[in-house]
Amino acid sequence: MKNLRLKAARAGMDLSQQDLADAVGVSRQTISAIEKGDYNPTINLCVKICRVLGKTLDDLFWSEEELN
Amino acid sequence: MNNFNPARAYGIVFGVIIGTLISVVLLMSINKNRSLRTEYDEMQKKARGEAYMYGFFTVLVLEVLLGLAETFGPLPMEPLVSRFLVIITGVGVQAVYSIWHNAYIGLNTQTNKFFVMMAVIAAVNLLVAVLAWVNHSMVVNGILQTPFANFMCFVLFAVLAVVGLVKKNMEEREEA
Repeated sequence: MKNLRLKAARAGMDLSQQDLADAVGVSRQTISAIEKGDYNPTINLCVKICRVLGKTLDDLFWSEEELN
Repeated sequence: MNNFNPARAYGIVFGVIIGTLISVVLLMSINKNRSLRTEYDEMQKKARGEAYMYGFFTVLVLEVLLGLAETFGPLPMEPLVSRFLVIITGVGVQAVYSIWHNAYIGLNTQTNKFFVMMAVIAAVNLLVAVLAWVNHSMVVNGILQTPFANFMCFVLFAVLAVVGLVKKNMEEREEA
């Protein structure tokens, strides 16, 4: 499932995938895979992304749709 | 076919030692901060784990097939060539899977230097294979000789280059 909230939050801060990847210490492809829903990041990486984007885990990674 | 030739055996051992030293120097030169350790992120580590698994099973299956084939008689190749055939195929499976899952090039790898190094290694192996072919030392009495391993190395690098280009092309199309 695509993570459009992550993509929107990143774009909202005017960050490219590469910028976010550099900030959290992963490859650009990993950020791309998370946004496309091809990869489920560990909680550590989720927290790092949230810190950089100024969001909470709920904001970016909690999906009521997926749970229902 | 299996006559022990001390000079040749010591030559191979010496070559392996020199090759290992060169590999260490090359690895340090392509990684940032001259680090011997290539760093990967969590997604890359996961993909590389799967890649090693497929490479491992490839080696297992090929070893069994090679063993079975050898029960029917000696293969038309030197033992070192058949071992390299298995190793290179296993490495190829691991590398292709890693490339396809964006896990081949590390976070601290200097990409341009890395590709130059790959091209140089491929070219050296091709040169050795071509020289052996020209000197008629690639096949002697119908037996594939050690330089064929160099040709297999070249084929491996060529396959990796093609897979890498196809993957890059696909990514660029997706982003466009």
